[in-house]
Amino acid sequence: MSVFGNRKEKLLLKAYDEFSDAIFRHAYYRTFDRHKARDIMQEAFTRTWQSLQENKKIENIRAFLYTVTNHLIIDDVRKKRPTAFSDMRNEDEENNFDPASTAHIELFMNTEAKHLLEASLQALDEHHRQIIIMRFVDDMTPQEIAHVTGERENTVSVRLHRAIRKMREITDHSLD
Amino acid sequence: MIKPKHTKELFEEAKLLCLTKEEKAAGRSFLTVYIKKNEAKGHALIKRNSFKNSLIAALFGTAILSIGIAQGAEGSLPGEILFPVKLATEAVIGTLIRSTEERATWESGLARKRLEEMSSLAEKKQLTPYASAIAQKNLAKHLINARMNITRLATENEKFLPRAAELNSNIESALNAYGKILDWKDAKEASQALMLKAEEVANERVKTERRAAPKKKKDQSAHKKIELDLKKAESRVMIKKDEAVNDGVQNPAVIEAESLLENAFEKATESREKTLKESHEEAFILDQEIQRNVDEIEILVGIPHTKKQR
Repeated sequence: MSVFGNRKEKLLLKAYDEFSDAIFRHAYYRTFDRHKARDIMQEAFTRTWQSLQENKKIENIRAFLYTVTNHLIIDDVRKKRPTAFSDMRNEDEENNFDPASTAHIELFMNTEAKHLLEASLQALDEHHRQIIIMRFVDDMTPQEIAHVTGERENTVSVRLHRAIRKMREITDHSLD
Repeated sequence: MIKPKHTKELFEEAKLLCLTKEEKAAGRSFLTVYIKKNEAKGHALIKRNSFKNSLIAALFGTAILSIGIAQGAEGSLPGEILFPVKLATEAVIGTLIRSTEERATWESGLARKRLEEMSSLAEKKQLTPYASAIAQKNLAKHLINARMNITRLATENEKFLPRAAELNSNIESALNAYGKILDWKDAKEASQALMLKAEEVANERVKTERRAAPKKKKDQSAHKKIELDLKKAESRVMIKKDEAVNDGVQNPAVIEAESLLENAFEKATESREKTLKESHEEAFILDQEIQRNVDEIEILVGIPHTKKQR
């Protein structure tokens, strides 16, 4: 591989080490499917490599990864049917979600909390869910969300406000 | 009924969701293989409409032409025609590296590359015993070299200790991840054993480097030790061969080890003849080569065979 190729490879692998968990997490809370979330995360990185190879200018690789992930999830949402909460529960069992297993025990200490959160997110529409996850799980600022979604910052702020209000109705708690 | 948590706390818990170590390592390996398969062949390096750049372009063109074959060989895999060119190119690049840290990084990268190549072949279902043997022999060499340079790095200056530890950990992770992709028996334990062996060999070689060749009197005990090591290596190779036969598989690493063993025994005979003729320096050089063969054999017998016949 050439010097330039090496640099790009290092950049992408460094990005993988740094952001793969975050991208996976984002994809999981958008799709509620661990396997799918992994595939989407992987696809996001391979597509980023393709863009690097095409010498596309990527100023912020994190934002780029989120943009690609977002597109992949939107494509996936357009294809699939809505998932019922009961199906989601079965999916956990299918994935051998066992609170006692080492793989998951660090992830969620409280299974009920996990299901409550997922039910709340599931009840939101796709646009609100996307923005809530980006704001409160990915810790993105409205500016960063605007960059990823391609919308104006004002639009993002308004949508965020509506999403928080909707979430509040569902969970009966206030978001700070 | 469980009291619902504050939503903010729910999101804090949500942030704990992440990939398992195995998933992350497997994903990284996949990405690395993907990158290798999808490298761009050319780059737009030079802007147009500039005399200076035209001159640079001309010089570059010459350089690119001369390394064209090397570039073409870059994606080749063990067993392919251009693979020796690839190894030769790596050797040339290796001679240009001066600092211990860069050398340690370079050798670690090469060890990883050999694992990736095996994985690519395995994916294409082209991991023949011959290709596997070549790849594993080179893996053994790079593992030892990487460890030698990591040891030198760690002893050079305390400030390099974290970097040495990081390089060591990277090699071990790669062995673990690829061991699973390559379907090694007891992949994790095998990787750890390989790392320990490479470390042992590397430490011994670093010590040997400082030992001067005997001018007059032959060091009998050193030669006896080498012969003893050779016999031990022979036993290990035989045991590994029997294990593979019992499991009904071929272990390419053992096949390669047998070849190295044969080579080492020939050199041992030659070393004895040189000693009798009082050519101690030549005998010493042969003994060092035998020791290197024995070290590589030890590494090779540490590489497990795959669980299923390919």
